[in-house]
Amino acid sequence: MKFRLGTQWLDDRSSVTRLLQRVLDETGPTDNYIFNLDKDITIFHEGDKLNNIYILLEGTVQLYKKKPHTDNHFPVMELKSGSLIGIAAFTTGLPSLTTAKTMEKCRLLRIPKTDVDSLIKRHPQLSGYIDELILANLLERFRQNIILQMKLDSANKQLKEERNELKQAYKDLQNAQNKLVHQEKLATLGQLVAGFAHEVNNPTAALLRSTDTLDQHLRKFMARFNKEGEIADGSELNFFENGKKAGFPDTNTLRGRAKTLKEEFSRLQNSQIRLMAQMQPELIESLRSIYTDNPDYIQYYLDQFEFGKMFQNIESAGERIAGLVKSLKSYSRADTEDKYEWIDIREGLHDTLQLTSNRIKFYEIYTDLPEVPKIRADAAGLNQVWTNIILNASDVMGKTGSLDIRCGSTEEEVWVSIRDDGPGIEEEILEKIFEPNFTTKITGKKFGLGLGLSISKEIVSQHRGTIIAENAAEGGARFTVRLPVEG
Amino acid sequence: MKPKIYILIVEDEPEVLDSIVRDITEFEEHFQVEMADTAEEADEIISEIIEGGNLIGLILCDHVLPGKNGVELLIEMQQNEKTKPTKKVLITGQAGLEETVKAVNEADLKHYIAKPWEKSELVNITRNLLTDFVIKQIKDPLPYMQVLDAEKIAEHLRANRGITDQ
Repeated sequence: MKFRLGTQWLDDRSSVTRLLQRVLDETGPTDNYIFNLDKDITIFHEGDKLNNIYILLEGTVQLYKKKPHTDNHFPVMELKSGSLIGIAAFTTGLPSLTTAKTMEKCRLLRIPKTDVDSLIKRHPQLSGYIDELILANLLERFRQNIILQMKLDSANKQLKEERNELKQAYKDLQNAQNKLVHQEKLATLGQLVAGFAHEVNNPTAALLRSTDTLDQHLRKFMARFNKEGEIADGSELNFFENGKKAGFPDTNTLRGRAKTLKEEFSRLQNSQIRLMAQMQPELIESLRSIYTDNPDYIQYYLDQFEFGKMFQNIESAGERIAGLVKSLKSYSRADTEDKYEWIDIREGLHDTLQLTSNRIKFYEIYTDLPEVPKIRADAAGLNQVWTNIILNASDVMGKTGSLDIRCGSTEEEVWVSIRDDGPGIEEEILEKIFEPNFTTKITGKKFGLGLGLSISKEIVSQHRGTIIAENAAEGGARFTVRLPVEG
Repeated sequence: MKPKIYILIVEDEPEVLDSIVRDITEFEEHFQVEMADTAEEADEIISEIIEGGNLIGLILCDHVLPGKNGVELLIEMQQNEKTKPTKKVLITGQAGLEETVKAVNEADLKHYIAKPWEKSELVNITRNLLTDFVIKQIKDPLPYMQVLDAEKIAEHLRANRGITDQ
């Protein structure tokens, strides 16, 4: 096919329509075919069978497509003058795919299908023009199609990006929520702990005070008993005192001593021998003479010794409880009003070691904690950091291992480093360990939220400090926290 | 010579070990009490007792110990023919459910005593378990009647006589 009009009309189709109009005008009245429409007039509806071919001479027509399952229509294409309207329906004879509506005042050529042939017969040159017009329209629609494809592609891309952003935002939100819940739990726990510590302090104090009083009364009682009793000579007080001071030899040593003693004091019962095995040599010495002179009195002296030992047990147990409670209170800081206070970070480290003692009971613990400047900090928060690091180390090392805990300072900062002697951290995950929800622990275990280190990092950041993890040259993982001195 | 029956106590905290021994001291007339502060030491004592031709009637064992833990020790004892009949008790403040279940399934754990314990509880459990042990493992449990569950032993003796009479 040859373009009789060249290609310039592809861009300006009004020349074609002018030509068409002229042809039609020359051959008779075009009133039958030309008509004018106002704005917002529907030319045909989607689904209509078209019996006319429409050529837009002036104005703009918008094609709409109905959305499936709704009554909404969305604009598909805008047609300018020189366009064929309903081209697909006209050429194929199928129902129209779109609804055509005028956007402004329009002039249209409406030629009934039945007239087309006779028109062409009358004006042979019309055939060429119409062909070119159809072709131009198809080309235009093809171009539109490509543009649409490109738009679709970029819209898809944008959609994907937005979806990813949304996903990330949702994840962030979830992390934030988890953290909040976690922090809230800790805050509640802190309050409970403070209450608990207070309540435990009372019975502990009562226990220790009672022992004190009991000690004094027992001495008085024994002094009186001495005067009236037949065996007492005052040396039993010595057994009582020594009982209080007696340490705890390990079971192996005790067994060895018991064996030797059993040979010498063969008439004594095993329970008596066992108590003697815990005695200091000078007590054994005084028992020796009693054993030869009055073996029946031995139990009396052993009882005195055991009294002393029980006092010691009660006292050391009470002091342990008191110590734990004190650590618990100062660890949680639930009784302080201001979150930020001037603290010696070493105290928090001590409290943490004390409170995690059931997990690190069998570890070798090296500490090198020289005096460092006090810093203004959230003590409870930092304790959480130390706890996370230590419990992580403990999870990795299991029951035995060692911890090396140091601190130091420069003009600007105070630092704390905690090193374990576990297998260290794999290089690939080293960067990820401070990310929320990153965990190497099997879920369902006690500490496996994957929040510990990310919360730690946040706490340290709130102090405008830094926390880093690395594999130490001497083995194991080392965490170093640096905090500015001017809090 | 008649074999001696031992009670073995494994606990790493000396104060606690001391208290357990004191609480069961009434059994010492008829049973030997041995103490260990680690599972490894317990192993040595067990070997010594077995080599001496004696029996371990009861083990009271803490779970959290340096080195090998209590449940592991009990399981090993269960796998050894010589210590399989030993009555096994965990006395602990913190064995998790998983480990306790393991002890029940694999070491035939007879009792779990949570710290802090009551003396009467410890004594009753010790008496019941030693009675069962003595009835099963000792030909003539008569001498133990005084310190253990006399009724149960008497009943056992009656039943046994009944069988031999026929």
